[in-house]
Amino acid sequence: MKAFSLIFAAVLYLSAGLVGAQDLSEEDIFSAGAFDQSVEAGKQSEQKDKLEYLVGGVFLASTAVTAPIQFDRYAALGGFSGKAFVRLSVPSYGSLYFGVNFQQDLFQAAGPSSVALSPGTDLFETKFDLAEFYLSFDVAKAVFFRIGNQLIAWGPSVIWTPVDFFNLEKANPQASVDLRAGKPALRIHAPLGKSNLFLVTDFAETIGGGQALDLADTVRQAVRFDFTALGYELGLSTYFGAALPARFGLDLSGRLFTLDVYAEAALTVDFPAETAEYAFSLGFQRSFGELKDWTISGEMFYNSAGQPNESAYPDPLAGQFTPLYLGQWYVYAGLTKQNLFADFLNATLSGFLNASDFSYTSKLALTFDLPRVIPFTFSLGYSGGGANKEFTAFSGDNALNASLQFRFEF
Amino acid sequence: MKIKVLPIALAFLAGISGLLSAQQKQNDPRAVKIIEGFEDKLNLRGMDLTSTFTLVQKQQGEADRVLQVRVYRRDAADTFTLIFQYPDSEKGKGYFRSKDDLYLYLPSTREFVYRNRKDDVGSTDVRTDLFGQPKILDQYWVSYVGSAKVSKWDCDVVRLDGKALDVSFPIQKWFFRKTDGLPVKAENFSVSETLLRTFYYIDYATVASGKFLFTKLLAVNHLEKGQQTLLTNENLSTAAIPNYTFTKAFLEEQSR
Repeated sequence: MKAFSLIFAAVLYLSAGLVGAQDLSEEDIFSAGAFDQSVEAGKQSEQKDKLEYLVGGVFLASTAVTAPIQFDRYAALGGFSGKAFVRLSVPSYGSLYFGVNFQQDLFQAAGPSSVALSPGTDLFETKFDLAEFYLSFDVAKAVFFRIGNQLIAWGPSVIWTPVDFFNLEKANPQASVDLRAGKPALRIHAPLGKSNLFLVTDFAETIGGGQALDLADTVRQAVRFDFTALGYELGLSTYFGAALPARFGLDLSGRLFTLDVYAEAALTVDFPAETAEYAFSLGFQRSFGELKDWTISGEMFYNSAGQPNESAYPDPLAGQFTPLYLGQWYVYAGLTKQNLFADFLNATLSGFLNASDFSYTSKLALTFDLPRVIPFTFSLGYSGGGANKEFTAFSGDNALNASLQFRFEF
Repeated sequence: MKIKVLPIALAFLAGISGLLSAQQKQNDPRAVKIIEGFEDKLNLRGMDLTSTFTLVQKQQGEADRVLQVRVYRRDAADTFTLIFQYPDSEKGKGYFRSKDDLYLYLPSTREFVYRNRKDDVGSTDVRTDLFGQPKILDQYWVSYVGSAKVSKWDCDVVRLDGKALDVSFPIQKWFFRKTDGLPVKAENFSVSETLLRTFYYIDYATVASGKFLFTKLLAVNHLEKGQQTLLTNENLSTAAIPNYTFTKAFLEEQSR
């Protein structure tokens, strides 16, 4: 009779998808045997070695208008951008990841039309770029391999990443979606107790001018060793190859008093030319308030390869203009409040200062996440510090910027 | 000199109402005794605890979802570390509590994000407080509301009203077995007293003399019909845990 009760209770548990636990009597709920059977059924359905797939992405629809405070001209732009990916995996073999970035401008306007504040775009071209495409697998869960086009995330910094020697482009902290493309490479990761060793072989230069080139001349090698000591995570990295200046990096992250702190330092040495460049960033973050819903953060950056002022900046329209790495000194500060006035509103006030040319940009972003509405962000920004400097090159001096972005992740 | 009567009157009224509300929210000695007895049984001060939690989430019309979490707990230092071990999509994520600070570690961006006690672990129906030592008297005003029968047990019922915003649920009703003082059920309410979730403590293990730990728990979500999380706590060990385990660096290292 007891066995019958147990089976009956188990059946009730297993059919919980149809009959919720809300509908079970408390007598049934406290049956430990039925509980165990229900847990076991859940585990077994999960542990089948089946092909799993994950499809996801980010879609961003945005429009922005910029005008100097005299309102004698303006520039506006609207479009879509985002990324989509699919990951196929068989737990005992490995996984395949394929991701693409896309971008479509819908309109561009300037007035007077002879004065454009930003470079023109092609409204009839949808740009699709391979973001990442790689195969991941492991050998006995001891060594992990990833081969294919990939981005590498090294170093703890949020805004400036001097130890990112590998990627084609630096991450843009002002962008809502990371639309960078990966590089063809083989990454090997060996966890070693309290440390990790990463070896990355970079094949990006093996083709030049449409010709296959000698591996010995073109393959680059990146190495990272990270470990933990005294409650801090420390990382040492290097990137080298034939006829390439050697790069060395050091980074750390951890907690100092009540702050989360992080730092990166990089040294680039061209031994034949006997020249060296160095850069470092230092940042912190601290959340406070009873619900930890206030966050203050800051970061500074020095870059010896940057320009001491705006006089030698490249032409902004020539495509060589790399924001946030043009000058020598930079500062960032941000303040975020989650659930401002209501639980559907987050607000962030942030600002960047190029302390070499003294241009700056600041922004107040209000993100609304209302029920049954696509989350959207309204931003209002101001840039100044003098004309034709880093943060005013496109917008003009003393310029206001307003933007509206709808974003959904799937 | 003109005296501004209105602001003074308002301040006086505010003071009076503050005093009244403070008087209304007092601990009931009988409830305090029950809570102290229960917390003494579940606090594991003087020992470290390592265990593995398996969470099986069942949702109507969907396949079961299984998560596995390794928990390292040191009540004497008011800290714990939680690391997701399964599935691969969650692997490397983790929580680290150091007194009132709770961090969620996201390995994809290598970020530590501050969270509060309302955070649902892995989007299941349980919150992080479940994995650490109970600190009810620090977080809630407690009052005895009577007796009730839960399944076959006669229980004392204690109502909890949050003292602060950072509590897992603003109002709770706990049902303690009269025989051993251990909770068998906890009802969790919103501020408007809508029943959100019910936890059923199905089984306990004895960790040391007079010290207990739940090993089977069922969390029922009353807002999502048919949604529940079954939680088992296994591989219990009271061996000493290295201090390093209770650092953020440990989480970062484990996520690789």
